[in-house]
Amino acid sequence: MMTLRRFNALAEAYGADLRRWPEVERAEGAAILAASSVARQMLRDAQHVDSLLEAARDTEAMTLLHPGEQAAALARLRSGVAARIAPSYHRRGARASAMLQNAMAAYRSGWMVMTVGGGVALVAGIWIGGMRRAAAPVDLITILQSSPLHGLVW
Amino acid sequence: MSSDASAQAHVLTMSGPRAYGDAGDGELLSWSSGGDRRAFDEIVMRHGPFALRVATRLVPDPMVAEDIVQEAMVRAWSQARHFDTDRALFTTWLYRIIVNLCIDYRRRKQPEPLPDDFDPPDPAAGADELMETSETQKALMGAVRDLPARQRAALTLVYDEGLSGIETARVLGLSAKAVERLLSRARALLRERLQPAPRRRGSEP
Repeated sequence: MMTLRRFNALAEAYGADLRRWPEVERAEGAAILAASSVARQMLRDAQHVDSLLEAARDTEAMTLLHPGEQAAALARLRSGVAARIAPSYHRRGARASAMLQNAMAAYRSGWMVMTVGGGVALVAGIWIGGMRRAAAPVDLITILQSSPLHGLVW
Repeated sequence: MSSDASAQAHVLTMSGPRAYGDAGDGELLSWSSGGDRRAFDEIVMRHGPFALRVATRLVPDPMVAEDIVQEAMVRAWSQARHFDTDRALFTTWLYRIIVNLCIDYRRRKQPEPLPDDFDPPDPAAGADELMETSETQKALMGAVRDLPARQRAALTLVYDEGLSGIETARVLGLSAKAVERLLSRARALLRERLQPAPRRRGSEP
């Protein structure tokens, strides 16, 4: 059986409307309310605070968003969330794609450097070779004597 | 976004069309955890209004409240795969994220001082008379908003959102008894701040 003390605790927490009370305690609450004038006074006291809360809710409702504004707020929310969850996907994909592109570019530029470098070396070699042939008779001993390896060879 | 969504929908139809509007929250969340953004958009459409309403009640600035709800939704998206639909309701989970973000925000933010010209209501006047003045309405709303964050959250969930004490306890991560205490304290504070002070016998004319 519910005590008056428990009844008061519930009234102070959940107010005068028994539908808000914990379901398992509603029936006992209603029984004690029917039987006790003290319980009825407790509920009247709780009703005062309920009315303050209702008035606060009504006042607050005036400051809350109107239906049109609510729709606009929901639209903003949807687009905001979509933007924040989509980029994370795109970013991940884009990051991987960018890394791949960079790797390909590096790969391609590496080959290009090697090709150009090889070409330049080839042209320079032919040119230097032509100059030497024009300046001196070409025999193996002369070439070795004029090279930096001369000391080592002799 | 629309071409992206349609492309995604096309991919999804290969394993059977998804009826987003008819799907339950658990199903939508499960699809979302697999990267289905259209499913998550359905969740945002479905629960966005209540989420915005709760946040706006807990955080007075509507723009901040919107930011909080957006953050909560993004967290729900990123945590979707960890959510166990057999153990809890999605709405309880979402309430919990929103309420915790609002409580954190209110704890970080210092309360704004009242304007210099603010005239507090006369406690000697009758409550009914006071209700009629805008000053009192402001005081009333201020008193509710100035409640400690958890008390305010408990009041909002039980009195405005119609949650039971047990559901509120789940949202706040507390016991039902603790919720009862929060509600009692909140109501006692409101009574103390807003009810006309009882007149002493000696002061009667």
